[in-house]
Amino acid sequence: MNYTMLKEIKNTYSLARLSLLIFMFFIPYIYFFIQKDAYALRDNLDMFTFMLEDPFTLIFAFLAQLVYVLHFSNEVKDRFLVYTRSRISIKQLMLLKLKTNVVVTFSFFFLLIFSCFFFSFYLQPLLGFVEYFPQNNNVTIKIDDIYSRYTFSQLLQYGSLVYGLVYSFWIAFNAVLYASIGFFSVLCINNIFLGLSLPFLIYIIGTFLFSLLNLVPFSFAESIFPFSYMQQPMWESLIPCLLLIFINIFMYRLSLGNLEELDRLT
Amino acid sequence: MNIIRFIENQYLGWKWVGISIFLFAYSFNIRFLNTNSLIYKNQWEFIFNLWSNPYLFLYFLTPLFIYYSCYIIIIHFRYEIILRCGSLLNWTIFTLKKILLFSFSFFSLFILITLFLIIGLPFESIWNIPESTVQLDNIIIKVLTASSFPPILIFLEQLFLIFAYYTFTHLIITYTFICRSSRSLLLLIAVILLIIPIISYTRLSLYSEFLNILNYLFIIPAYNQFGSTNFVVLFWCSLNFMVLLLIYWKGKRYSFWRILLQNVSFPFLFYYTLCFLGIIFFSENYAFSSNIWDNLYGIFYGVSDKGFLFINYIFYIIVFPGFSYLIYFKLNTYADNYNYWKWLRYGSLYKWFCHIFVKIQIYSIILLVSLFSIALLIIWIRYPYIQKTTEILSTNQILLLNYQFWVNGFLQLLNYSLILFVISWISKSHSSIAYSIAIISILGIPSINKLKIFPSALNSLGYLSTNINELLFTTFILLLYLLIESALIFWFFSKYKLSS
Repeated sequence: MNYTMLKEIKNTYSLARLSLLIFMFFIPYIYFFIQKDAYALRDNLDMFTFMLEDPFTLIFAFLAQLVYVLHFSNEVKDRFLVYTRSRISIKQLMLLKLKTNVVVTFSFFFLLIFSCFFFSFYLQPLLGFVEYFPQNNNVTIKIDDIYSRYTFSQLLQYGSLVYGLVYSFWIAFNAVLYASIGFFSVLCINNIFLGLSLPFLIYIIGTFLFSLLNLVPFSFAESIFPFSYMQQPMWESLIPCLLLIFINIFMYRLSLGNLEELDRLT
Repeated sequence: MNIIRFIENQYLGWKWVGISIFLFAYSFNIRFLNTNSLIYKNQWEFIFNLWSNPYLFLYFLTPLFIYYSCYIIIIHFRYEIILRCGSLLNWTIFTLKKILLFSFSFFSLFILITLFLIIGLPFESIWNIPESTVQLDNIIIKVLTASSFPPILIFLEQLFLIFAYYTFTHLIITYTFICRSSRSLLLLIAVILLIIPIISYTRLSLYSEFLNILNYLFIIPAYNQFGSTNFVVLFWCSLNFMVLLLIYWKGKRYSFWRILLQNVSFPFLFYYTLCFLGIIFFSENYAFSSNIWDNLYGIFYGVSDKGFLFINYIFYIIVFPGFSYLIYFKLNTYADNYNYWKWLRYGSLYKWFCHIFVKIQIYSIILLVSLFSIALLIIWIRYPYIQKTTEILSTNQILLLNYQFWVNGFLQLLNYSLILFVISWISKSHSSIAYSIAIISILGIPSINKLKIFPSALNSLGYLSTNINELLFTTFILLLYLLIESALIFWFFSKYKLSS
């Protein structure tokens, strides 16, 4: 019998799990509506970055695990997967689950960030949730300021939609990288407690170590959410991303590369 | 008579004649033919100029000492001598004594030559050139003026550094020869030890001052680079000690690395390395004086009412909640089969919990004391002297800072550990622990924890104010949460039947 990705998604997400996803989806909005009166915002871009600031930046790697890897880890822990071998080859199943992980995590984060973008760039001017306090009344300076404020905001020159799409894609791509590190580490580390927290540890400790070396623009958190440093060329964000891709390849070799020798699946 | 015989044995010989002629010619060159020679202000400037000459030390002294080390090792590595010494460590000390004797004769000769050459320079026993007449590009004068020690002490420290360096090269050569007594390997090591300082001086120093051997070998550049010589002295002493330890373990039944691998907990080692790096970084960038309290305030700033810095908070998360994560890792307090046998041994769950709780308290106290002493060590290394007055804090805040760091820090650590314990008992899964750390760290963000009612990040020193009532309120909140958590735990225990 064919087991497809659609069936896997249908089996994984019960009502409780869906509600967890929906709650996660609204974290930036909750933070925004609690905090909006305490800060003076300048413009749409300021509002967008404000929604994604401190709490979201801090737990980004952790949220990436919550979307799919958490449920997957339960299946691995209870040795559920081992008993499906009579129906489907374990390699095929694992690849299917990996694909599901990538697709679900990517679409979740893409929608999340793009909705925040839509909310602050298109809905806010219509509905007016907050009142802006522009720092400078000179219009030309203000526009220049937007283009050169953060790392990805040079894309605003080509229209705000381009910025929204590219930046959402970038965050979703990084979320996929962290989620797949979690996926592989759950498989190949026997201590599930460590396996699940490994991406979070990599994210936090990596950010810390990069900052210690005075390489703040290259740190993991800063390359994804570049809101606290001056504008850098966009390719510089790719360097920590490449590091993550190398970690992913390494973990893939350790886990799916030698499925026959994994303790968890035999 | 002994002294005369010693001098006769040591100095009468062609090698010493050659060495002294060379040394004298080179020193004479520096004294009279150097372009700087006209502006030597007194004898100390000449002495330090001569004794921190890289060419003399790297191209003449180092080859000489390495050659002598190899010679001593090869002629004394015989079974009867090792048997007589009793152990490899004693044998190493036996050869070290020979090296020290050689260096003693050598340096007394060198000092004699130096003393001969300072004739004619103005003599001063203390350093009293006024600061206004000093040229700022001359680092010798700059350092000597800035230092509070008399120059003779600095000179003795310089001698000590050179001794320590040659002891280190000798110990390295000895260790490799003990491990594998082949002459070609000895030659290889000797050549490597000869070339590395030269490469470090000529090439690597272009990239980073930390890779420059001169900063570790000579007192004046060390003072100029690190601000104090404590670091360099500590550096050579610890290196020498480590090699001696390696040689000591070489004679034992199990190798050093095997014992190390069995006894050291690598997560804890990694954790303490992170703490160490973080403390260095924050005391460098966020503390503006050499006072210990200012430094503690800058290092463990964490979060505050006024603002939120991501890097500060990440360091806080790594140090405090990260510690509870490690403790959970170590004690494995989760209700699984492995622990079931433990509970049977303790007789009751309460006894087991008390045992664990005492352990958590001891670990927390050890953590706080070690963080404090690492900070103190780093300040001692970085600054020539420790300032007694504070600059960032006012004087009546010192007591409050101590209260916040020790009492609230201790209670906060207990809180984190018990929260993890409670969550693991409620959810019966390890995965929830991984996430509770994330939730704890979110609750600590000051804009969310505005009223300070969540027991997270309350011990960060950024919350320090001039009013003690706020700190007492924090203590009250933490104690309240501790009470709630222990009540919950006892309730779980009363539900759980051990006998079934």
